[in-house]
Amino acid sequence: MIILLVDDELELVSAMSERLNLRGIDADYATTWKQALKMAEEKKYDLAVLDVKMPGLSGLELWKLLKKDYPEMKFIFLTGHTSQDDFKAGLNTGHKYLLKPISFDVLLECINRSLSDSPKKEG
Amino acid sequence: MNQKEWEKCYARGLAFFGRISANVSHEIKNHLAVINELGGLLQDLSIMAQKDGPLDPVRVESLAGNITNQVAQSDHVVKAFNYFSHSVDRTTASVDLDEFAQKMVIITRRLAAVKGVELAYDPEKKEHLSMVTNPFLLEQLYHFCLEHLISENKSGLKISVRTARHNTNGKLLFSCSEPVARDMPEDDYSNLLMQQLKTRIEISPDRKKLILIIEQLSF
Repeated sequence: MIILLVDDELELVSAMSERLNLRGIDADYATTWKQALKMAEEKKYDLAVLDVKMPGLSGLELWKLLKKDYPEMKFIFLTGHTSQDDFKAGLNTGHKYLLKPISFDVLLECINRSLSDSPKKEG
Repeated sequence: MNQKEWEKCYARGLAFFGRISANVSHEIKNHLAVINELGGLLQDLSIMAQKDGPLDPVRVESLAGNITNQVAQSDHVVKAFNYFSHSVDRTTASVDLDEFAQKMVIITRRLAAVKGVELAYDPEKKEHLSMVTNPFLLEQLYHFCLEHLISENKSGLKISVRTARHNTNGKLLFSCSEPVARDMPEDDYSNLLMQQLKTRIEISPDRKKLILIIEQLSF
């Protein structure tokens, strides 16, 4: 299992990555959408955890690019926003949508479920 | 201001307040999320140390330092947001323009960052300028100028904000790393604000500076 964490907060993704690594989960991180796309080209990731609000390209726009090129990849979204529109946009992707600050146990559960779920129909 | 203008001010002002509040709460949530992960990592490392041996004190110091830094950054944002929240307390108040610029940059930095724009306050040319004005309306004009500059989604753009004096007028200068300052769009509401606050907006010939000129400084 290899996971790609994408968030513009370096300290957040580096700590998350280290915590996942300590649990035997291989997790890399990127702090920009460009870096994320480059890393996805170089390594086959099973799952990407994407922050919804990022500079330049939003997590939802990045999701569209990644799912087009890597249809097998699973996704989990993270956000600090709780507006109705953002929440609906996240839910419409058909993937898990977690609000920051997240419970690490919930993240682990979402990762395990996402990777064990059969492919979902995406909106 | 007539009744219709007040109604417009109320509706647009409320929308502006909501936008800034949502942006600030998002930024604070981000800081909390980082603190949460760093605290969790410290916990993980201490659990591991109980089994596998001592914790690296340098690592612990670094993680604890990062947490302290995140708390300081959130506090900075909360203080600026508190300044902003109290700006609706009075329709006229004495405003230190320099303090105003600093606080507004802090609470709008994230708005710019999501467009790939780096926004900074320029303290090098600090000048103490005070004026009696409607602070909440002035904040909306500041936001109007900033939104105009970042609306082109010029990723990599840098904007620095500073204040300056010009005779009896005060200026808020938005200096851009690229020529993005187009002529301001015609907008009834911003025209109303400019009229109320006796302000005007000028664009430098190289299109790298947007200048909000505010009349009636008090000395």
